[in-house]
Amino acid sequence: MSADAVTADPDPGQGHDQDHGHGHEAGPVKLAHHFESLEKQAHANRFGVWVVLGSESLFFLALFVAYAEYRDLNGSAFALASRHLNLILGTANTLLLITSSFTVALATHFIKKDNKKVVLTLLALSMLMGTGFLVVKGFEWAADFREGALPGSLFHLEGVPFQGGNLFFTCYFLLTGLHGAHVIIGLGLLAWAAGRVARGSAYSGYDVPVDVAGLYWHLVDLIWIFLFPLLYLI
Amino acid sequence: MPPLAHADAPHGHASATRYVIVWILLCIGTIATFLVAQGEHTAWSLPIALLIATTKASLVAMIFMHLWGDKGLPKVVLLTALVLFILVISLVLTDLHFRFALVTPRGLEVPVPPRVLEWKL
Repeated sequence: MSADAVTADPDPGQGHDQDHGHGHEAGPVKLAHHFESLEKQAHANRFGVWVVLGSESLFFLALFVAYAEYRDLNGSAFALASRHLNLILGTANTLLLITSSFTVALATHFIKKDNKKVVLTLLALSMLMGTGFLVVKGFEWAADFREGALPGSLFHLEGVPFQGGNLFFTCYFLLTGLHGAHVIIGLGLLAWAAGRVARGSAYSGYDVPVDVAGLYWHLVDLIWIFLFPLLYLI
Repeated sequence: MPPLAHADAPHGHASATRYVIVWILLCIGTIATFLVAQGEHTAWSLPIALLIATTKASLVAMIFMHLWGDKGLPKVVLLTALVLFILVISLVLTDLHFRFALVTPRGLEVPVPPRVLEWKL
């Protein structure tokens, strides 16, 4: 093994590329020099992603704590401000994200069966739904801007007390904005995974790209599952 | 469809039916939360909505993220984050409720009308 990354047989001893036509000879998986085998590399990759997911959860924890404290102090202003949000669009967005998580889960299932076309279709569908989520959120934000439902001192929404109302929208824009940024990162990861599948360097013997992009996408879904009731249903 | 290669790969032997079932349950949970929001807002509205959200999140973590039956370190990472989450939220809220009132002035209590559904863009 050289000091640089080398090409490894992703599934030594089975010779499945000849048998089943994975085509990974066209886009080989690289084994980093500090790993003994592809299996160990895959294990480390997956665990690394879980550590990232844990840190991301704690990052959102700080924002959830801010929300809990401000809401505790300004209960009725928060409830009034929440009435301003579009519940129909919020619910539609939740269904979009849940369905995209479902198609990503199916993609991680079918990559293990080497069904490349199905995996690529499912990943494309997931990306389409993720983009749809961002578009809907854009319409919601545009309505908020027009009506003065803004954070901090910019807040001037009619019928909602300034104290508390402004804090609700500070939390709302921080939480949905950072979640939106995560959706964009997730879309990038799904596109990267789709590229790996298309090139043949992600398949049943080495499904890490689809698996880790999927894990990240599910976290994005998990965070939204809690944001939806906390912002729209109070 | 190509032949099912590597049927013995991790998770590869299971049927995709479980994902379909979980997806249907997640949709039902979302619609249930939506319907709960239509009724009169009571002290139980948020706990019910959060209970549904926690159930949905558990389904995603256990089935979509394959934590069900997982014996590895991911569970440790997730549990650590969860424990820290509960600890920080409960300590902050406890502090808030036992603090000298003037330090944290409360917002005005204003009447909250029932939710009106309207379609707007």
